[in-house]
Amino acid sequence: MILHPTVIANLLAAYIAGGMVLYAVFYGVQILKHWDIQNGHELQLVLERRTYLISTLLSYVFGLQLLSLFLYIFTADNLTPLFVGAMCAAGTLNVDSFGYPTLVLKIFNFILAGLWLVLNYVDNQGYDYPLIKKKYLLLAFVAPVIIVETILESAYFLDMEADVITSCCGSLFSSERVTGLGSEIASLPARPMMWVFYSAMACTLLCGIFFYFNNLGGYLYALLSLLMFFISLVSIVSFISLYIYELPTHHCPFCIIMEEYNYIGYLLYILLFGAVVSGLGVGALIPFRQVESLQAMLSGFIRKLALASVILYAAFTTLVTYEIVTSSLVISYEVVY
Amino acid sequence: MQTKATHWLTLLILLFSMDFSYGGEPAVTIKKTDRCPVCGMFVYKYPKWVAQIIFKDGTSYFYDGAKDMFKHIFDTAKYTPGKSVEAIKDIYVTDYYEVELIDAKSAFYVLGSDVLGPMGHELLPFKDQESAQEFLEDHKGKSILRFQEVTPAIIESLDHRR
Amino acid sequence: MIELMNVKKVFNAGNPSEFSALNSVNLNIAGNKVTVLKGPSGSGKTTLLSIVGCMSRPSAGRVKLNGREITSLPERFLTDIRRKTFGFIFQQPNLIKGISVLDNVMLPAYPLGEKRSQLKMKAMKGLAELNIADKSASKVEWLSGGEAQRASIVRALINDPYIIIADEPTAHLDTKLSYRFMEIIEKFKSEGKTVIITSHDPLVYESSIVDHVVKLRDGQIEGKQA
Repeated sequence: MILHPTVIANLLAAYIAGGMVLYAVFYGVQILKHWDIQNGHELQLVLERRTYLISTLLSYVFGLQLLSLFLYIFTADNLTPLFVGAMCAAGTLNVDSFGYPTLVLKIFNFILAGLWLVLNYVDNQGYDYPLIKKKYLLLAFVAPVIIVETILESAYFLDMEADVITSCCGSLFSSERVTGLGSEIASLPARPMMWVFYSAMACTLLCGIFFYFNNLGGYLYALLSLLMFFISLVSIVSFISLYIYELPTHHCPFCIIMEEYNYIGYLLYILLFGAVVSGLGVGALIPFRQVESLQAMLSGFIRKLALASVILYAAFTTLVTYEIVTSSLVISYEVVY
Repeated sequence: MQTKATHWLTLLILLFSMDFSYGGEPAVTIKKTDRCPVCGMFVYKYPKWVAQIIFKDGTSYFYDGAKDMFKHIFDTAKYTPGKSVEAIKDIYVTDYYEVELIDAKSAFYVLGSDVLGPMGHELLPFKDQESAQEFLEDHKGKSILRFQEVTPAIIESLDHRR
Repeated sequence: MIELMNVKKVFNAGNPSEFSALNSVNLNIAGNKVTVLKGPSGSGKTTLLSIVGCMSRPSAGRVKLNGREITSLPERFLTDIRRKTFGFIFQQPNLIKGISVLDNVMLPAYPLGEKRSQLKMKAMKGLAELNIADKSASKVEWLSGGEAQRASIVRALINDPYIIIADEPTAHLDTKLSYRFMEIIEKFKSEGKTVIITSHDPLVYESSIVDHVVKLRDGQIEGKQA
């Protein structure tokens, strides 16, 4: 294991989050089993007090979880000088077999954590804990995934050896290598992919704006924003990265977070992840519009979420378009296949 | 004694008057934004490994090792659309011991050694056979190749070694 | 108006020093009436009063205010109700030293964000009704016992609550002032307010103004429960 401050920070954050989540889940199960707001038994009142503490704790834990995704990528980027062949986070993640699986789980948990925070916020606005069971059910689902992620992350960092030659992102995301998801995405033809990206984004934004004004099509928007999330990630590898690097063959999605590119990767990813969480939040909350204690605020809140999602996706698109327009790269039909 | 001293003196004078530059000064100012067109690495971080190709139209590219330079030569249009191998004017690599740019075509490349470059297994350039041989013995090198003997298959084998 | 169902309050539960302050209290407090909770010290009067006034939560049982269940409310909702519904008068005036009478009186209204000029007018009017308007700018340390008590009453009324809660209000007042206090209570009743008082002062619980006396002993209500 490499005793680097960033590694220690990651592991510490993961263990704290994992520990708190386990503690919360233990009580959450009690709440799921015994919660009955009508009766005045001692256990119920104890649970009412306890959920206040647990919800507050979990808000911070899941907030930490959101940050940990970016801390993880930052750490991988930071450790690249230690590994031969690595020049960015892509190489560092490849030094052992746990790096990329951990990343995938972290992305998944980012979205779940964000959704939980949205649910928690709305639950706190009702005077009778309207979403409490849904909230703890989601927690029960998220908790094991977080534990698995913590285990994988520990394995990744603890298994790390400095004398490993790792693959450079140039080969991981090259269109030549036949195997590997990275090169499959990288070899998607750039021009058609641009069309896919922009038309999908247009649909998504229109749907979101339509929902904002007419309160119809919320589920559709949630679905579209999830789809757009994946399309955007694929687009980053397929063509957006080319324009940022001004290199026709460099598809790496991690080099864009480097200082030399003005850390633009972080901004792009923050916008993208924020957009998908708020978009999915819309879909998650629509079923509760009829709940009495939330009548006053829920519809307005859902619309605000949709608007936030639309704005974030629009900002993402603007940034991408800016990079494409100001780039000195020109993708011509013959060369990039 | 007198003649021996004169001999040594002449030798010294000759030594110092010999011009060690080779057909045009290569542009050695590497900007912070220069990246290897093959892998995208920032070249300024690895000054000991710099390779350079200058095209007839004046444009030049830097690489983070001889391996990537060869990759560019073998598939020029892929990494720099519109350019071809025939348009290359000069090629330079950094001598591993002297740490200065030497002509790539006349260099000696050691393969299979235990010294790794930024891109992993590399071809280590030397300006003459003796230094290449010395390095090979010191660092468990397997073979010494001339510029013309390097093929795409050899480059690929370097990439696939772990 | 206020219903207590099976209310229990236990302090230090699980520890050797566990103490049960209230045991299964069932009580109905009627609106627009004066109710007195009477009992020796340690009988749970103050605990019961604080639960009724949303200042603490029971260990078991439910409390309903105007049909609305309040014990399960999350903190922010409970605070809101408490601020708007109840006015509290304590044994000691509990005025804050160092600031004027007027500032003390306006304090409970600050979180509600009313316009300061209007609030000041309300406060001055309240002070005038209890004849201490001339003391509005004085420091609280200069007030006599009765004046301080009256100031605390004005403070209790600043948010126009419809329930007044008073915990041993006459404990530090002489007879004359105690009678004056009861007259103020009568005024509240005539304004439609509900008053709940704890007291072991016969002057209070034997007063003709009082509608209902609840006897407490050892955390339970004696005799027939309302």
